[in-house]
Amino acid sequence: MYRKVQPNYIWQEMDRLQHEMNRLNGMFRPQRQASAQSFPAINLWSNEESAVATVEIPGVKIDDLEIMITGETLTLKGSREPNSLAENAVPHRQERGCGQFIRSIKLPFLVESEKVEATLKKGVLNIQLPRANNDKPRKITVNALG
Amino acid sequence: MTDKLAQVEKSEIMDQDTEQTRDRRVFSPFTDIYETDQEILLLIDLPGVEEEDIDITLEKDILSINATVESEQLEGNSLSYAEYAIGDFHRKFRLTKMVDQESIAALLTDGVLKITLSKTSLSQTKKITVQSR
Repeated sequence: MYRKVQPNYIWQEMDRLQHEMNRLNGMFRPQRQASAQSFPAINLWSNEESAVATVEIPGVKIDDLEIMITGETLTLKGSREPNSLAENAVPHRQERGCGQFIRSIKLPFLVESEKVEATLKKGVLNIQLPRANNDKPRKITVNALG
Repeated sequence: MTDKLAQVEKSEIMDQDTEQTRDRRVFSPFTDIYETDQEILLLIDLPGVEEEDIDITLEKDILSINATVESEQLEGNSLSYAEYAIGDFHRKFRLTKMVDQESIAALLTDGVLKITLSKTSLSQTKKITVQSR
């Protein structure tokens, strides 16, 4: 008896193989370097007192950007507008994506959302995230008796 | 929604014909190229680059862009999560049409470099009207 072969089975298998190869290639990457799930890529710096998120978003206008903090989650929402060129401009190469994006990352601690400050300079967004006071580690002094 | 912004990772240049003297990674920046009747436009993503750190040269028909980026080292902080690496940008383009070497304009806004190359009158598209008798 013949087994019925699904026509797309081979392609699924190819996809799986490709995925596996990508995963293997990823093993040779420096360990700290994660790959961004979607645009834009975020780097997070932190110490005990605060965290700083830096985001590469070239071509995104400050008005097209929204930053939200909910609990320990930082959400970036925005859009990169397509270039308004003359109508008769013929595209030869388009590598720079455009459109809307939304991304969330989990922060290492709760932040003082009132004191969050963001600056956009040369296509790099810098978000200062001070740690919430009630989230900071408290030092407990030991009282000696007698 | 994000399909148009699918390319998130900067592509690193691995095999270089010339070696770096700086201990820095080098990336090939994402570029859009447009052509109109009079101009060739290049839009290049250079996040974190200052105007004075961009070097554009045109030699014969090769346009090269070199940009250096200062490393992002935040005092008193440690990098706890990283999705992108900091590095210089380098890319070369071979211009197929003759461009006016004297009138190359470059403008940097929000980390995007826009290079405008004017075509010489020779390479501009000429419209020829067919006359009938």
